[in-house]
Amino acid sequence: MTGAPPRDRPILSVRDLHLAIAGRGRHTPILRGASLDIAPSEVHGLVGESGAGKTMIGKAVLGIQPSPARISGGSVLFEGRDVTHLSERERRALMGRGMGLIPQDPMTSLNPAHRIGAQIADVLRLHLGMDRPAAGARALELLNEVHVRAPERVLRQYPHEISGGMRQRVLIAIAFACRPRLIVADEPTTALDVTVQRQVLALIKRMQAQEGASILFVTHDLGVVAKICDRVTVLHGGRVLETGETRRIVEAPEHDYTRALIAATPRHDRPGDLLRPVPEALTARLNAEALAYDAAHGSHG
Amino acid sequence: MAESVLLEAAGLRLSLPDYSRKPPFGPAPPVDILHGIDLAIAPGDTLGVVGESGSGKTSLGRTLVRLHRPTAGRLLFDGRDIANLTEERLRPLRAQFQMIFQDPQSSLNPRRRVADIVAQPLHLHGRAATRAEARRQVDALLERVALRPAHGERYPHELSGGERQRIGIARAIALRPRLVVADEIVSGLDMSSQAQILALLRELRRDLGLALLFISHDLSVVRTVCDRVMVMLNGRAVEQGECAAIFASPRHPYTRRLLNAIPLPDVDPGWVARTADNQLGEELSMNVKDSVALVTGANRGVGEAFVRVLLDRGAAKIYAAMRSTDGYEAPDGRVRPLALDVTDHGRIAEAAAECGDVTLLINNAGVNRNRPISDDDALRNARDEMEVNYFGTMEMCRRFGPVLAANGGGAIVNMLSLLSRVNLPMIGTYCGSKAAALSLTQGVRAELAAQGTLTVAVMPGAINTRMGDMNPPPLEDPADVANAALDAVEAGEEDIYPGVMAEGVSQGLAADAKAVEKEFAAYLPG
Amino acid sequence: MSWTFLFRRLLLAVPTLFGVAVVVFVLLRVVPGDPIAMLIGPGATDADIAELRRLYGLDESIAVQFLYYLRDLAAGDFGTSISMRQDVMELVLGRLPVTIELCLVAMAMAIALGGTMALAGAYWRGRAGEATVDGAAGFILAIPDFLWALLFILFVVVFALDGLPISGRIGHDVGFRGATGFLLIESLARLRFDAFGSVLLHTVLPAAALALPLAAIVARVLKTSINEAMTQDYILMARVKGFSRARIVCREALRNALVPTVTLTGVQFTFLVGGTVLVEKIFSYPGIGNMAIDAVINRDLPLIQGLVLTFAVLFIAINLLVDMSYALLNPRMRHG
Repeated sequence: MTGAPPRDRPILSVRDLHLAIAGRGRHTPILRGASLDIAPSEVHGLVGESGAGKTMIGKAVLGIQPSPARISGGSVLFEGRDVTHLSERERRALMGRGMGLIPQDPMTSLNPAHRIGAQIADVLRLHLGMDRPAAGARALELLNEVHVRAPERVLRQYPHEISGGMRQRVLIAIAFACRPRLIVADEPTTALDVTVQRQVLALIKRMQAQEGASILFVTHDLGVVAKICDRVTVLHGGRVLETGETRRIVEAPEHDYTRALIAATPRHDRPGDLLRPVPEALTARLNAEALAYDAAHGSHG
Repeated sequence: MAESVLLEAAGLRLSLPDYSRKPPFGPAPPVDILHGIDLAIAPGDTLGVVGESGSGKTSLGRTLVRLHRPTAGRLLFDGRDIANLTEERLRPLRAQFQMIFQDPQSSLNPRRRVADIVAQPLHLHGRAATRAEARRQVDALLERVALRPAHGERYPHELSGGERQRIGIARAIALRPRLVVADEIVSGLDMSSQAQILALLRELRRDLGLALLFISHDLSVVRTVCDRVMVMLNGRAVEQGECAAIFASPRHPYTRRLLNAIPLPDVDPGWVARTADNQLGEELSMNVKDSVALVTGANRGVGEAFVRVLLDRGAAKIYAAMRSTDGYEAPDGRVRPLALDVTDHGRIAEAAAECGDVTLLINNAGVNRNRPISDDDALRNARDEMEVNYFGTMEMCRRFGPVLAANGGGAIVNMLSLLSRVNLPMIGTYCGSKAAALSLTQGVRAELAAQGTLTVAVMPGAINTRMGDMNPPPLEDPADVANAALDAVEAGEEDIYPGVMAEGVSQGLAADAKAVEKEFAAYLPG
Repeated sequence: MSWTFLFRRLLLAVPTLFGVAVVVFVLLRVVPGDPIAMLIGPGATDADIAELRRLYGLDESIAVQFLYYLRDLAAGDFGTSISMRQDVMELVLGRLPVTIELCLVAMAMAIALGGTMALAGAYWRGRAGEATVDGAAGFILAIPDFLWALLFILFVVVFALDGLPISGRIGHDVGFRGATGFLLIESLARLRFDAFGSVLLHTVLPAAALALPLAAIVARVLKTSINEAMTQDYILMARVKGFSRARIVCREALRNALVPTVTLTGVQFTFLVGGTVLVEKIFSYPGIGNMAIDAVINRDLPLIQGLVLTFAVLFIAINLLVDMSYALLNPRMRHG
């Protein structure tokens, strides 16, 4: 992409991030010193099982982690600026043109009470200062760009009147509306049918290439990672186990857990008895390492 | 399989009331969910049922364990027809077929301990005389699904998703059933929990000799658990057979689309780009049921088959277009004869105005003069063929495009031929007209996609139409070809090659076009 | 919202009203007390009483009386008031606008106050603001409408707030009679602002007494539904879009919270209408509630029957309006 900063300076740099859920005297660590860098125009996969903390990293980047979650150490540098301790007003100013989100569940992420057109136009008016007709016209353009069929009609429709795949296309249009530099995609295709998933992935990739945005792509599906990500970070228990080029991670994983995760991914082109669940001994070892980490870093929290 | 069948369904149909369309007074109108499903499961057999949302796979599972009562068809469990048994008479049988649900969170009572949940069916069916006996069995079941007895003291919300699904499995196998229907039981889980549950299912099958009907949207998951697979689309089974065979060479376009859509964990930079071409395809699919179709050349051959198949599949209205409607007898009240000669362009424009409700246009009319180029009348023959096969199709697309757009997009099926792809000697001019029509179809497709219209090119081999075709066997049944074309409309498929012959040739063309062309050239007589 | 739905609901109202008519008729005939005895002065002869009984049809058997009653009802004749010797329909229709206006003013006050409290509580979720709103709502709800009415009167008397009238509907010196009974609306339409001011001033206290409990309920229900809406994914999306909390509460959450609130407010509004019986009496406010108490004291059977049926019609109309408002608030119900 033209005008993109050189690749050596990351657009997003998560440094040694510690995050814990505190409450009722309990202190549950979620992220244990996680670090990752995303270059401009890079699609960066964040893989792990549930509870690994991958969604929490995405939320912490956007500054929308739930209230009992506290960042107890480390930093999130967006274009060199730490965004972990922004005021609400500063965070809001960063949204739209700085960052966007493609959420997991298209069925619940659009407001059922407002028309599709209004939900695309409102970000344009807020961040780009467009007036109502200009925002409406741009919303139509955006729907065309994300290949929504009969866009004029969809603008006037309510979310319940269109399919899940179509809603995810609308959410992608919203995420890219103000041309953000970074988009967090939080399991954006998990809720979709497989054929729709493929198209939505293609759409995300095309929009990303066209706009030159970076994407933090959170998913549990190594297949999706292999098809769309440039680099991958493997997360377990809030710790980064491995990070690297996608091809290297998929074809020559270094960490046992990455290898186990690949062996545990079902494939329709191989007999089923080749599937290997992640060995319990490995899971136990990783959990023990996480606890040992907590003991060594008791100062956090 | 014939020697022992545990569960057998034949022509299973299901309609449920559609409350969204309920009139102020009177019952809600029925909506057809399953359109005649045939399947058989032997003891210890595993059948995967694959489909996307709305395919009817969940309804099928529920009907097989008689949570729904089928509207028609037979449902034999262990040789006994259970399709219409009352709940009372079903109850003693229920222990033998169990269901595991998609969402363990909502299918487990949140206020009861795990041990009580697992013990419940034991008490209900009198399999445990005392509490101690029940507890002993529960502990054994928990161990069976790789949980510890301590898990029995917890409540469902204290468990992880994978653990909850194990509880669902433990409860389902508590009565030692002979058949378990598992509906999307790993879809909410991440890869590692999913792999554990899948491995557990494989173990249980082996150790307990369970028959398993495994419903999933994910073909990869089905492959790991099942021997056989059935692919569902809009309440029909479009393909059924051994996993290894179907996954290696899927016959139905929809199966192929499903397989192609799954991202395997192999790096493939072109994968995304290959999708982009077909981006609008899926969203352009439409239902044949309730459509208003127009079929040209409807009085004979494949056209006649189209009318019949459209009636079967619940089209609301069919304009049966033919050169002259004299002597034509409509097979059903939904069929409207329409005098239309596709070489009369003025008449096509009129027809487009008359039939403003068409949503599915089937350009079937075609002509084959069946003469070689050495014929004296070759030029006139070629012009006749072009006039019908090319200009007729073009004019129909041109005039009906706006009609389809006004009705929400719809679809066009252009009946072409394998000979659109490869020429056959002695009928070269015919093949030329068909090749031109294919080229036209591709151009029209891109143009009409923008308005939401799907354009399908159907390229069958020789069809048994008793219309004096000189083509070599095997001959395809016209109804099969018509069904394949309508399947493509429902699957959003753009190019299809129905039949073994066409299938083979298209693969051959993809592999080595020159070799196929040479082979076809060898049909020159003498 | 379809016309068939409306038609069906109106059709269903017929048996409901018939049931109400039957129940009222039977109840009134069963309870002791002779309306004629209440009506007639001492010294009346047996012949006088018999004549009166015949006049009002009370000499017939109860079954026959019921048949006459139904026949008259079907003809739109509610009978003649025994105590006021006037056509019941005329009496009720003359007073109905008074109560309707009172209820509408009370409703507006309840929505304004309750809505503000709810928004404030939701905005300051989990902080002192929310606790204050919860406390205030609890306190208001602990006191029923008629006690609020008495408290207001006490307050006016003790602090000698002469500007606030505590009796009647319009000042005697205003000299505005109006043609419709909807004094508030009519005075405004005729640009008689003095009359409008006077009626409004007379309405403030009874309306406030009626409004307060409803306001507290609106505050509680609306705040809970806003808080519930605030946990939804589309709120998270709104935060990522960069909207302020005030905008998210008012524009994203409020609209979705309205449906459950309107349901309950609709039901509670019928209680408000019922509350007019006592509150109107306390403020000598000349509506049908006030009239109902007099009718009961006088054992004025035809009038009671007419009033109860009027209240029933009001309740049915309110519920119908509530159901129809769903369609406006919830796009999902607009088709079909």
